[in-house]
Amino acid sequence: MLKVENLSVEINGKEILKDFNLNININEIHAIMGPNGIGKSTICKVIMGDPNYKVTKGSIIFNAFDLLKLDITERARLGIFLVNQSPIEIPGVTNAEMLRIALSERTGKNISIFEFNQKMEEICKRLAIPISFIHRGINEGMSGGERKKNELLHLWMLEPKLIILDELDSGLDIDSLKIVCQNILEYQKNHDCSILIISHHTELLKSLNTEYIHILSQGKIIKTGDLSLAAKIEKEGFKGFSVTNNVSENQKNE
Amino acid sequence: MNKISMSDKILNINNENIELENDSKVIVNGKSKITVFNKYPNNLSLEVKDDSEVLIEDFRIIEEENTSIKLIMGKNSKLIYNHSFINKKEYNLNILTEYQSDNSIIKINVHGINNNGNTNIRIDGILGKNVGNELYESIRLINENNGKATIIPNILVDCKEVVANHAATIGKINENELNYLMSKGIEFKSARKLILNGFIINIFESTDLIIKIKEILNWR
Repeated sequence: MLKVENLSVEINGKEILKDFNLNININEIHAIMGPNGIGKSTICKVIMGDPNYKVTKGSIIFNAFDLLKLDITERARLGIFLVNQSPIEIPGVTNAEMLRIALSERTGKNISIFEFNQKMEEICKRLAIPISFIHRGINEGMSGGERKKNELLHLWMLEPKLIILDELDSGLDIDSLKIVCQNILEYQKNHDCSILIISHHTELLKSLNTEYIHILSQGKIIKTGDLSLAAKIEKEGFKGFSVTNNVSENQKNE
Repeated sequence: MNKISMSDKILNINNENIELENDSKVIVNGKSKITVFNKYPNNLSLEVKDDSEVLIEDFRIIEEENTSIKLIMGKNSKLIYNHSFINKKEYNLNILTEYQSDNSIIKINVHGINNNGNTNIRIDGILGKNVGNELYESIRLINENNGKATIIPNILVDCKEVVANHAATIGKINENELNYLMSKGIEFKSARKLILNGFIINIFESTDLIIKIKEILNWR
């Protein structure tokens, strides 16, 4: 489904990823771990198409499409969905307005308001959020946890094929994290979809049944394993894996 | 029973929602709300009497306009002025405050889009020697195409017991917001329109006004 080959990326002239490789097949759940500032979020942003990052080498193929030739909108329409660490708010633009436009532009058809509202209400119930979220400004005045749930509202409506979760657990309390993880797994069960997770926390990776754990160092993956690798990192840190990075430089960029 | 009396373009408002006319002098008693929709109240003088409150919500699409607003505040009075506009040519907005007594609050929120327009906003916030008065100014302008803007804030304070706050930004449309909407599969052009429309309406409280503005913006 997703194949990243020999990808090198820089921002403001500084190289963050170097010959980075990653393969994700359909229905697989992968996670990338590594110290702060090593370039984990860069991977998410580059796959989504953030124009602030410059790809200097390599390729990203998603379901036979060359993503580097496509803009953000086109990538999203292919089914790539990014849940940012801190989703931004857009005051004055409601969830309903945004989603109606996104769906009608994607399908080229007018959306039935009745069916749209009915589906939105069902998802709100599933996510344990008030129905009033439908007509609230995007993430406007929402707590960190509410923002993550709001992103899942978008996810259920837009039905992506690859979900990228960047620090999903930041801003979520234990109960909310449980609801969010259950929702993501439920979504995955009902759709053919893969997940790429960026996280420091083994518990989250366990909750999401993560199959592959990758360690990022010096711009590339240096080790891949299963959940036991995440448990080892949680216990011993990254010292045992020869993880090095120019943290201070990369932190400035992230 | 609520009353509105008018003589020589002077309006006395008491608990009424009204639409404002050009060149008006408005005297507010009690709690009032004034809505301006695409009309140009040049040289408006607005007096808020003691213990009175007024919310002004003002939206305009501007071709060429000079607007002067004088805000005269009585004791324990409160005024909120929410104004958004799209300027296509030339817009000069001057606001002058006059605190006649103590413990009054003025909040001025302006959101403007200069679509090829030139906007000059000057606010003379004169707090004088009276105590307990508050002035909050927040002005955000987005320049589109060849739009230009100047904001001149003058706050004159002659007393220690006041609050005076000024915030102003002039910039382009927020790229992070554009990227965010595009990451949901929305075209660049539609994303831009959504953000600008949201920016215009999000300072208003009146649902009726928001619906009217949305109609006119979608039609455009």
